[in-house]
Amino acid sequence: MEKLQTKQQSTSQTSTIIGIVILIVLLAALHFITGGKLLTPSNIKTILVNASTPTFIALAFVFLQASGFTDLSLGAAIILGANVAGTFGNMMGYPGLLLGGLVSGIILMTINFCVFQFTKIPSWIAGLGMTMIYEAIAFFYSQQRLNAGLRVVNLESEYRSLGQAPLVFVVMAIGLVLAYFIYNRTTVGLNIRAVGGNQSVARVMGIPMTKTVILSGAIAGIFVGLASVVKISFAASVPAVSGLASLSGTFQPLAAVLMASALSKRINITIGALIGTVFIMTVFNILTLLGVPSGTWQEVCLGISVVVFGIVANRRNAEVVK
Amino acid sequence: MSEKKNEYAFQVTGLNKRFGPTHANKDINFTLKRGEVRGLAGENGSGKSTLLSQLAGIYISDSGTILKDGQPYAPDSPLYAIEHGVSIVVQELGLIGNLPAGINVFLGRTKPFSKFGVVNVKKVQQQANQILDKWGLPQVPLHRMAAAMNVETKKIVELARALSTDPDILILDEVTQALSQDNRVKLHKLIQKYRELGRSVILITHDLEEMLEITDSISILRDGELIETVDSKELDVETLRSKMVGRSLEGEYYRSDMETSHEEEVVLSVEDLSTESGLKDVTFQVHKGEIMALCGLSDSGIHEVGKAVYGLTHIRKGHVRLVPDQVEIRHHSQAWKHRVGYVPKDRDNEALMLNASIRENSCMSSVPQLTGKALLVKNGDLDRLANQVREQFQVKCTGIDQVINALSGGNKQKINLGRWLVKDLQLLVVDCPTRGVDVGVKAYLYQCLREAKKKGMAILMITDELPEAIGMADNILVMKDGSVSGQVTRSSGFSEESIVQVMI
Repeated sequence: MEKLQTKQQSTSQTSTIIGIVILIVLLAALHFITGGKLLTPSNIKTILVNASTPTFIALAFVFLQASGFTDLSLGAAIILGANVAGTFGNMMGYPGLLLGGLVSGIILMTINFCVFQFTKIPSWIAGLGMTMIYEAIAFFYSQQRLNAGLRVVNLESEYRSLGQAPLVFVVMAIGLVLAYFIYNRTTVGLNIRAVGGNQSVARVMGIPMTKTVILSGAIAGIFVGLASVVKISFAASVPAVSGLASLSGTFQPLAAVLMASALSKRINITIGALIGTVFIMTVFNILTLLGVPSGTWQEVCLGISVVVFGIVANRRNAEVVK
Repeated sequence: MSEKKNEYAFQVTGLNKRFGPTHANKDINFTLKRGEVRGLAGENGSGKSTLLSQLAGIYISDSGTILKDGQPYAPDSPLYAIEHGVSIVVQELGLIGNLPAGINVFLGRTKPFSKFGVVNVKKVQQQANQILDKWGLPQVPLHRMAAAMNVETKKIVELARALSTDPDILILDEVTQALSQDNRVKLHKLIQKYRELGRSVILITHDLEEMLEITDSISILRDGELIETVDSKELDVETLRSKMVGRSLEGEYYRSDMETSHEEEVVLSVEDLSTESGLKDVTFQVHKGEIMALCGLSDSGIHEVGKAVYGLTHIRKGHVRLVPDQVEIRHHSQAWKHRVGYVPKDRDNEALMLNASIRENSCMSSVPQLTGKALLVKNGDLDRLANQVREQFQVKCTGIDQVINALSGGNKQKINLGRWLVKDLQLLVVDCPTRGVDVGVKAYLYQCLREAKKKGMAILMITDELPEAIGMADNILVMKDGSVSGQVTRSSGFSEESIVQVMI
């Protein structure tokens, strides 16, 4: 049977190649439909820059998913982290920007995972609680600044290169390589996947559970931190929100991770996360070029695309999907 | 004095383990010599697996002492056991599905293959391959995700994992049940090699012939107590069975008749069946009241036939027909609707909802029949059915609300099979039905299958155990490389030799 499965793998490679060809043809057709605007260098650059923050959030979700936790507080953590990064960036330049974002991301996500691990509250519930706390902290911080006669955090333009082309692509590449190696090639990455895959077995195999769970939070925090840095660098200011409004910022990356999971039998999930976010941004971009109103209709098209993408990716593997 | 001490790999005194009100193991005392192969025999729930788990650090003992090579040994984690030269292959599948098999072999111990925390995956796979080579185990695709492997391949990966720590005491909890004939032979050779190296093995197997063949001594456990340890040469299968259950087993074990007996009516007709999972032009029929056994080496495709017949595999070519209903099975819901049952080999991953109760697991296959006119299910009906399964199959549990994962492997299997046997089926597909089931229950299950046959149920029995096929089947279909390579009928006389010849 193993030989036969190898044969199936080569068939699967052929269908991947066919899929890529179809994709190229489809893009060419869409380029034509959008009046030759889709595949222009400047439009492609716009799509990729827009995909930067969601890519980092999606990579954070990859590690959350691998460790078996669902945490929706990422959006709030990123808003808070972006404000911290912006504050330190204005004070200390790029080192402050990077350190502020990364340290806050790591600390916030480590706190979350400590809460999950030690309280044993289901992570999605605890995550919602943490969302409210982080939203409130960011909100109070903004209010304090306004009360003190300052503006909300606004990153000086001289420190915003990390959110703009071409440097943002370098940051994305570094983040992607980092995620790929941690996920696939490091002891901690393998341990995280083991804990998320089957806690009982992982325990029997001598994997330190608490340490691994908390480390998975810290690693997700790196990508939350990078998302914060890129977000404030891109937009200059990231306003605080309340009432769980930060959740909306996690939907696109979640959809990207869903796609990456569907593709994971063929493409590594970390690379799939990038493909997923670029795909989603491309869909939005095409819809905008076609004049589809933003908001509801674009969201509907996105939802349909995600479902179709998932079905296509799973079609040949339906028997093994559990 | 020190030499005398070192004669024993293990000296266990007064070992106890409780799970709440259940006293799982009571004052266990035994010794294990270096180079000795010890079997543990007992009914399901007798405490065998618990004892092995205590020795391997999976469960921490409540009291008692263990000396290993004369030195105090107090395993409080599997890591402790591994560091002290004790490795276990557990009964339930113990791999991480979303990691490659090679990584699973060294999971938790990847440091020697790492530099600055980065693991050299190729090195890991090479080392895992060397272990398979060294111990004469079959090669497996170590780069593949464990979840994509079949039960047998997973078990081999688990064996490689246990051997990777180079233990001087190897503990095997029902490993052979997952292996086909050829790989069982390889495991037997491995055990012999262990013996020759002066290392020890403790094992559980419900195949008593096998236990008598490969062990030096057998410890009998009953209700958590170690009753006695006997030299394997002094035992025969019947005596061992009686010692295990504490009484003589009444009635027949296998069929005593040597004639093929079934009705003329064909229930299942499989014609030119080919699938993407590797079956090639498989053709056979199962009649009303017939037990058709499917045998073959690993990778022969016997388990894939079961899945295809129950509509779980995409059929590329050919037909699976339920003749009385004139229905072609293409989907499992169709099979279920037309009174076909299926008991898969991989109990934990394909059959049971491990975190659900006995009640939910017992009723799962019968809910539509229990649904009333208002599309509601009465709790009383569910309870009645779950209690029927529990009582009829003597499931050792605290009640039908107990989570099924808390039961021993054998008791889980009783529910897995029992929930189908209480239904009125026309065809039952059973894949290794007595895997992990003790002799008492095995005898009972065989009796149930014989009764079902008498009532006219057609049974497709896929099995890795030749004695089971020979003892129960009217016809044996032998498969090789996804195709049927021969068929033997009961009337013509079964023998292991003739079947193995067709297999190879």
